Amino acid sequence: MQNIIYFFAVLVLATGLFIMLTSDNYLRKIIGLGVFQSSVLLFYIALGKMSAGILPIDICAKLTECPYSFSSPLPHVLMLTAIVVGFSTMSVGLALIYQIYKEYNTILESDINKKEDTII
Amino acid sequence: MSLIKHINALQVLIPFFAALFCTLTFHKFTSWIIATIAIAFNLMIGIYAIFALQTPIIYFFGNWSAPIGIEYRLDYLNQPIIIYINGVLLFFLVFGKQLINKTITRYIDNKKHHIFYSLLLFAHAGYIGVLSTNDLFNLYVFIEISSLATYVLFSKGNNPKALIGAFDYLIMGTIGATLILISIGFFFSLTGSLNITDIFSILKNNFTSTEIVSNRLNILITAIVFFLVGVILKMAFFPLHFWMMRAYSSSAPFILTYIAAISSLIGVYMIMRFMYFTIEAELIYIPVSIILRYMAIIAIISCSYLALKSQDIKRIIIYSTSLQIGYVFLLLSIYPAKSLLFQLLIIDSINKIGLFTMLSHIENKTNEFHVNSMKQIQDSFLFKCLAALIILFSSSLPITSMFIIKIKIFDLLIQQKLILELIIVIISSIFGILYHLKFAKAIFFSKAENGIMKIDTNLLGLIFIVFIHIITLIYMNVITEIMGYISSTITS
Repeated sequence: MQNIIYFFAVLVLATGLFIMLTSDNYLRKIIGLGVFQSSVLLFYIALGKMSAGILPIDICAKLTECPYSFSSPLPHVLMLTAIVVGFSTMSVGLALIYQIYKEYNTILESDINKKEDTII
Repeated sequence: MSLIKHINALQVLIPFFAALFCTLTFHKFTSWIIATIAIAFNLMIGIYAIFALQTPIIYFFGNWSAPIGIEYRLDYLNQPIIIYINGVLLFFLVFGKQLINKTITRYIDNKKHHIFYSLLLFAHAGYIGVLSTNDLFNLYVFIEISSLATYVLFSKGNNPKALIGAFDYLIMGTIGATLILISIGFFFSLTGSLNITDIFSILKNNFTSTEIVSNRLNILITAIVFFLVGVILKMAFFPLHFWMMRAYSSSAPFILTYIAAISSLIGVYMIMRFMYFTIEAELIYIPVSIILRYMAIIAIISCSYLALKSQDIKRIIIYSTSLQIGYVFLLLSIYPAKSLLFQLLIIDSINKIGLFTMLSHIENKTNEFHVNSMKQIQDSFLFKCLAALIILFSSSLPITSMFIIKIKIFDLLIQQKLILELIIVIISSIFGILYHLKFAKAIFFSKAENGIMKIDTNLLGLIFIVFIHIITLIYMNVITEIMGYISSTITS
């Protein structure tokens, strides 16, 4: 049962991918992108957790005689960076959507494709 | 000398800080000067580094040594590529100033011209970071830095469709980068390390023994599949190249001289570093090479057919870009072809720079790229001569450097007894000559009733590219020797 978290991570990943590839509205695509990226956060943080592990704080006098096991802090740190990257990607995407709206007056992919056909 | 100690970090940080200064100038010409000086300086220290490169130059950030801290590592695989991409950007900035003004920054708000140079330098810093880092998570961060800047660079052009192309690129690029991140997570779970050299030694110790833990092998294979799919999606290699068509065909061609020439080089570098350093060669190499070879065959057939069938000269060049990636995969799947692979990459990249520069001279005058309705070019004798030479060099007819490489590929395929591949490469070479013929017909023999245009932009860039072509042709044997030496040092 301890691996069920990875199953949920895959579920979130598939949901995000589905939203991104099937939706017509660009804003929904960006939302799908956010869901897709958060699955990675789930996956990494689950990697760092041990079943009996506690917070990685230096509470023992000697590390060799320590009775506790610790969760790894490294995946959390990495995910901090990944959150920032995801946030900035989303901002660039929203800025592009704003420009698309100014240019075409719509953010529906089907409408834009129709307009392109009439222009050509 | 103390500079040599910090060269690895300086090569990334100089464009990065130059980009920050460009943002602060609020002035077009000043930011151009800053960018040019920074890249010229970067090129100089790159060349200085390669002469000091007896053993790999290793640099630890904050003196935290390898498995814990972030390590930058320069060797004969990445330092020549770093010098080359610095050279390409310097060419782009120095010879392309007029074309940048006429075809790209004209469509940007007057007060924001300096942002263009800043984005260019951010993308460049990201590319150099991808090349020089030896840490997998750092690799992901630099991929994202370079692509965030590239999305915005793509979105500017005279066609509003460029925005749609850039948005598609954003979606696909982020999916690709996320898949790479998942693969890095699998490697981290297998080995507990993020350093490529460290992962290589751990995998070598754990997976070469006779009893292989099958569960772990499955994780390794999953990680490899995620990484390859991510890179192939990100760099628009053949089966997943559909977004590239939309993004490239609507953006300004002059920005493609920089991006198209470099992004495929970076993608191939990432796959190579991954294959020779992260994967234990004998275990995975054979299945991976079989998959790559079949992908290459399909890519070569379909891309050369599509290029021949296409009616738009911009699309012909873009299809020929993805056709070359088919050749790269074919050579990547054959073990003793590494030195040839580097020659192909460099020559092809110079070809693409020439073609896209020529295209942006035309784009400055017209938006019509259809084969039958191109405007006629008049009174520009020098441009016609240079364009003819560039198409000739790109078409791999005899007495060009591409022809020599094609002959070497034939020779290699015969030696390896790969008859099917040989036939396909011959067919695609014939197709290649035919679509270059179509291209030349559209440019030189268009009808006068479609309209007339006169190329009056500065042609120094094209002259320079033709000059480089002739130099590579004359010194082909020297290049072969250098590449052979480089690839022999990598394998040892």
